[in-house]
Amino acid sequence: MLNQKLYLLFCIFSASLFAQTGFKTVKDTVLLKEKINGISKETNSLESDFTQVKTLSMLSEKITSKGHFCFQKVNLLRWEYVSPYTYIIVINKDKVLIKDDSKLRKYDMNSNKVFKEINDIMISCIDGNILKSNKFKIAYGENDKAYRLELTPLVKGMKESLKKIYMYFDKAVTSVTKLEMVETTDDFTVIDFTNKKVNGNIPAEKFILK
Amino acid sequence: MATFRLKNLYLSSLLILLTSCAIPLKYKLAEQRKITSTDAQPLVSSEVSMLYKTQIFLFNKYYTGMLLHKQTDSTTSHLVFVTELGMKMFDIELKKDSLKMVYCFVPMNTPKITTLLENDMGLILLHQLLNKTGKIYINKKDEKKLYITNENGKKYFYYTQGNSNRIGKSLVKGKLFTKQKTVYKFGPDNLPESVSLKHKGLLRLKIKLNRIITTKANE
Repeated sequence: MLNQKLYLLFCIFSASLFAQTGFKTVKDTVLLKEKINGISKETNSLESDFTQVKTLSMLSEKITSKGHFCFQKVNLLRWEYVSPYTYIIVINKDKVLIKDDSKLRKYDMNSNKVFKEINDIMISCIDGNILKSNKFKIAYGENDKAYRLELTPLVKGMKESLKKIYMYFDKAVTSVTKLEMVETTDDFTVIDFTNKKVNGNIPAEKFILK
Repeated sequence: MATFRLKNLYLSSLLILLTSCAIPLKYKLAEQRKITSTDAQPLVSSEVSMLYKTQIFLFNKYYTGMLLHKQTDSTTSHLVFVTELGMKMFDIELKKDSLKMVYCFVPMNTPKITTLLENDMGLILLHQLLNKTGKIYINKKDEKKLYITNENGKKYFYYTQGNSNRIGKSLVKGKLFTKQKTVYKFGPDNLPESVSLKHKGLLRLKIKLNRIITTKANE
């Protein structure tokens, strides 16, 4: 009898867990795509705090970083890490600027394929342009709290290192709430965006490093 | 004039050859045996994971991120280098006597680079010293110890910090010149707070590690 009760409890618990985390296929993908395209058109700037957790699956270890993020159309991006140490990366059109230990380094985006690829993915995920990309196969999922886009890389060079990218949108589809990048080694990085400010005024100096 | 210059060149080369292979005069040979963890303290802990802010200057490229060391079972541990943006660059598996690159991100994944990284990480972690037979020299003045081992035609010099069993500096010497220099600084918990490794000569490779102490506040 006790076993039956425990089994029932387990079933209820599992079902509620699935309802929270499980994603079913979106029926009306056209509508969802329109909403995401709407973000792309309407978002001129975005600011938010972020928490990045890198999970090294094989080692059962997590590395947590925190910081502030700014995006401004067109192609201006700033990731400012404040924890565990200060590190700023700014992408200003085709220039990559990195400030580390008060040292400033500058790169030409086109001279570094990896930077260019990461930048393209990040910016197109944030402004919603990823839907137009032919570099991924996209599957649309939803649960009662969020929409989830499952991006599977199709191009050589990316397939070797990235298995999937998951983009999460709130149910009102106002902006990306979470990004999850799963590597081929099953390690994954989750970036949670909080305290978002859409279309606020971001000073131009944020995208210049001296 | 030309003969004079040539003579000078021979003499200076000979001087470099003699000094580069020499053991400092103040050190006297004490014994020759297997070097254990009692002689030289291992630089990683099997009890705690260690995280280092890492800068790698490799040829004309500069990589930054975090290097994590974690013990996965009683005989195996891993050194994983992850960039600030979360991309894993390499994963080296460490066994008692061996290191193996088990993953390396595509731009770094060339035999030359992976071998260099394996060797340098091994050097930082005292793989050419611990459990190897070597000569033990003692500085009579301050009781500093110098351990010398040989492997693949290279000589490895490890200097202790005072009379402790902590390695403060290591040098790798080839037949003619010093090839690498590593300097360690320790924290109050007896684990390395910073490590810097530099290749001398034409090979442009530098590794700098600075320990990150994770607290509840920055987790």
